[in-house]
Amino acid sequence: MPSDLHVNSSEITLILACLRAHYESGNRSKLLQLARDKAASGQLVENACRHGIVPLVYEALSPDFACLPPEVSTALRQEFQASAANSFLYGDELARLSEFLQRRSIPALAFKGPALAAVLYGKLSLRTVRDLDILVPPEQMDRALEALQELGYAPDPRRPDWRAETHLAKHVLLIHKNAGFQVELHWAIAERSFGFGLSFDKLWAARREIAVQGAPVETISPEDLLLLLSAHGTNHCWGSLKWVCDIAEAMRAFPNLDWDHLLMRARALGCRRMLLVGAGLAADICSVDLPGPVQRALAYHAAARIMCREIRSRLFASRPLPVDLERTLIFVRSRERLRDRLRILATFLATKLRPGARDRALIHLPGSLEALYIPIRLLRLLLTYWRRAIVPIIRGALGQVWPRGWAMLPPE
Amino acid sequence: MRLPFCELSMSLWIGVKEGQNMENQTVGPLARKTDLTIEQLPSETVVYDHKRHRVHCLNHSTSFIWACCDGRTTIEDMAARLPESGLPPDPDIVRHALKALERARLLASRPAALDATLPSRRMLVRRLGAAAGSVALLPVITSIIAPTPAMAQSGDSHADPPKPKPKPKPPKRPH
Repeated sequence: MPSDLHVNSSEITLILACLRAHYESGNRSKLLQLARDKAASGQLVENACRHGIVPLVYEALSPDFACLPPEVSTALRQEFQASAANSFLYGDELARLSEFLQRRSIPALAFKGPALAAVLYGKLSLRTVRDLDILVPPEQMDRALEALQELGYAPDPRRPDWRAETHLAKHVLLIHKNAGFQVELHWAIAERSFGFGLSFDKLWAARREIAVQGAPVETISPEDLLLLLSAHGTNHCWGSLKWVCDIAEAMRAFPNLDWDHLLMRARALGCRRMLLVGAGLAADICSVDLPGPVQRALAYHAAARIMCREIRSRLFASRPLPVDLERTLIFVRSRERLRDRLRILATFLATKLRPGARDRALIHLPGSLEALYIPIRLLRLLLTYWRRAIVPIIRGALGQVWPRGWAMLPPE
Repeated sequence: MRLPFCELSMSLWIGVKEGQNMENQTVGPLARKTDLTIEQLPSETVVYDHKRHRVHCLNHSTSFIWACCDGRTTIEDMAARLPESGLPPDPDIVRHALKALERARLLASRPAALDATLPSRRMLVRRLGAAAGSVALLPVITSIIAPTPAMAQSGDSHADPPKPKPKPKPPKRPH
């Protein structure tokens, strides 16, 4: 059980009690007490939606709806039914697409979405689904794209230049012309900059077949799924409770997993810290029991424990999700290998230094002098952010290092 | 002259026919099982109707009665088993649940007993008045149409396609 989890909002306390009631079946006394104390208000539903855990909250509270204000129970039921309807529809669509791709002999692995709901929760209605994620081998990408276009899908019109960025990105978003279904067609499991070396061939070799809405669907193995969930949570800076719940559910759904082997694989892939952070969060928030090897590894991994604490405090604060540099620094801290950290930083810098339309508008250079746009961009950024960001930083530094009188001088 | 073989085969044939008749004969209501995804939650049953794209949430007592709809159990038998779900053994409660199940198209065969006039839900609640706790247990089904993502985004939860926008009229020329 978490010892230092300080939560102020009564709604968040109730949400956590709901999650713990889901994972510790039978322990409903605290949940009932909280529900009776009128802890539930409209914010309960809002927070559950924000964290993508409406089905779990509904499952925990629906036996005691009489204890909740009627407007809260009605709103929760509506959200649950809408979420369940979406999951069932996407489940049907996944079954249709899998069958179609199998008929075309295109190897495809479904992960996240309805496949995840079926594997982990055993029920589609218990996991919110927003899209389908289908992974195909990079060399089969064009065939898969053609096949899906035959079924009425088309690349997202907001990203017409997606083909130019295939070396940086990992998927293309396809949208069904009539029904609006969204499919992320992946050729890689993560961006190259993320340095997550799980190739399609390895995933395909360890795949397993599951049934989604009665149709056979190929998905990734439990071991790979846990690694992927950890990487996915990190990629989103663990900004939503549903990703933590997925890890908790995976630990519960696969009790016979060889954790020693999984931790060794994670070390070889450079994602051991991500796995430990995910497991630590699941234990803290959902009260699941950690397997012995993970417990021992976490006890010796101070950096992972510190990250868990920071992510937890951010999860329940109303702060926006980290972006840009802050997000990159979280990625860097989540990795244990120097080469992964350097790759993440280099990609960030390369993205920031890539000349944009404003730089090109300043001066027109021929193609042979394209490289000069980089110093032009640096100069432009320096001039733009000089007063806003750089001067306060220098002033702050001067205030700390130089005599106080110098830093107090008014700006010219 | 008796032909034992013929007699035996005849009786077997009749037996098979009778068995078939017994199976096909539905005394009580029969639950629909085709084109449905059924998921059991601790306190209710979630049913997705693939044909009509509807999601139904059956509360505990409705789930209990629906599970009893095997074609052999009569309404009276179901009523006798109602105390298992915390309700008094009242056949009208079963009829109300069956009526709701029929409206949700979750029954394969319609029992004739539903044709009779039923007491209103308010009457039922009044009848259960003494046992205030059991009012919350009365059969309820909540249903929604499953909107496709496109319909959900446009805020239209009905199956009708969106109407085409009228063409803008050309601006009038100033005289």
